[in-house]
Amino acid sequence: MRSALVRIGAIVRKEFRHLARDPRMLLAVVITPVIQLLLFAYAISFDVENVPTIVIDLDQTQTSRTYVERYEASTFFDVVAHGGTMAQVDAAFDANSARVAVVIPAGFARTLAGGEAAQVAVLIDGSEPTAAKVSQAYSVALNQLYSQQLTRQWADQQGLDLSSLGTLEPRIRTWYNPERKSSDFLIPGLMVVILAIVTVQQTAVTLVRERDQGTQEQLEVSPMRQIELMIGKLLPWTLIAFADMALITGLGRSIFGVPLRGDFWTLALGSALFVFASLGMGLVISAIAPSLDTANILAMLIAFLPAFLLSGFAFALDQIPVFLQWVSYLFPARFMVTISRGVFLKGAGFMELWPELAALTVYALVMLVISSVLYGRRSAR
Amino acid sequence: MSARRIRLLIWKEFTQLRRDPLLIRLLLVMPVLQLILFGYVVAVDIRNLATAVVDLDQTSTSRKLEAAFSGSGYFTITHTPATEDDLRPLLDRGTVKVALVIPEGTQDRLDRGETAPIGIIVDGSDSQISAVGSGYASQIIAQFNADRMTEQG
Repeated sequence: MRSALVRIGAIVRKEFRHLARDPRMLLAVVITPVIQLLLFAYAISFDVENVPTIVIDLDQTQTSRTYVERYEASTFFDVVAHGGTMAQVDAAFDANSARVAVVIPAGFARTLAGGEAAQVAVLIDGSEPTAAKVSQAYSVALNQLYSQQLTRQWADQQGLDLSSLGTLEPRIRTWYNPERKSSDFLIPGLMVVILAIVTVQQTAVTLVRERDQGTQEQLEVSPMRQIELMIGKLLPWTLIAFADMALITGLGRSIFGVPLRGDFWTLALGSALFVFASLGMGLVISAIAPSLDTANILAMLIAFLPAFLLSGFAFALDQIPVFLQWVSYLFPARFMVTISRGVFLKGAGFMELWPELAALTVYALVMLVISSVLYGRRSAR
Repeated sequence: MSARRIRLLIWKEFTQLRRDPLLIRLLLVMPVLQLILFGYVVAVDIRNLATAVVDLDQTSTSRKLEAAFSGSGYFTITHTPATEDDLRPLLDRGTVKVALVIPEGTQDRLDRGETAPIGIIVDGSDSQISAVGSGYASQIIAQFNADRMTEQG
């Protein structure tokens, strides 16, 4: 046992020495996560407000102006331009200066005064689906409010009594993230994506590199046992993954003000399990990939893609097709995103998150067993 | 510049590729897989949001409002807890993403011609869902008001 520890310690020292002598690698594991965090957190935003709106008022009456004021008063739409022809809509959409166009046809006031239903065209730039859907919902709501007000006025004029008709008023509360900050939503998930990329990618190439550099034979003739080599290879990356996690959490809290509401130790336990699972995946790749290129692409395939798309980090998992939902269970990222978001935003702890923690434990064990079996078979040849 | 030397280099590269059959397969599969995944996941329509309804009013109005929510296709009512306190664990676990709270006396307020507040809680830990969900909820309530007005008028 004692000598086993010595041998593991030797491998750990060797790995750290590799890192220290290869500044590019050090850069990759420390600077890349920071850059990714900053880029993603600033670039991805699902906040929809102040949607630039162009108004084409072909009616030019008091009534149409009152209607336009509705859009100007709402915080959701930001009327950036007024125009007189439809061609201006195309121009504004092409130049991306507006995302919504409200077109009031000539005769709008006359139709309304005649007691008929007037039509207003609301054109939405669909190139950003989320913004488009939300804009649509808001403009429909706005129009209904307006027509309700008109009906009231009309009823007053006709001497009808609508006073017995109350209205429902939505009071919307956003839990866990009242200001709806995108960074609060993204950073806990982003941490998982970054951890997955760093750990899988690096362990995926670590054993392939030994083979490429011809140092594999040296390791095989050393008194090193299979399991010791694996532990020695995994330990440094576990430490680095934890350093990355601490770095991202620190930056997220200090720069972006992301709250950490729940139990820190649940997050730490989840991260440890997730890191083991990811490292196991990396070792599996390392055992089957014949070359560095292949290892890199495989790592991208099973680390980055599922962590980015099928983890719920940015795209709601219960909304994707069912077969993809099943696929998402094959990767550990979705469990970790739930844990991370639960602890950071929802103030959750072990009691709420134990099913995800259990799933990660099983995943980590299975991955480490598969990788040691695969790797054992390979070196036995 | 020699076309022959370039050709030889190309030939060498292909030979190297051929000796790594896993790499060829990956290079062919990767773009297709990315296209499919991104297509399905990023451009997804938000529908059937798991919704909890706390109906403290228990009147025909509140039931009509519930029907308007579930009939819209955007919300699927999966839980009907008895009190507002029961919402906390449901949203904490992520079992529901949206909650609708219809306070006691809603129908009475409407009949008296007052404004009746309707509570809508959205899970802000998922910003796409909270943005789209609150937009749709506002739309449904506005439609509900408009329908009521037409019935009366």
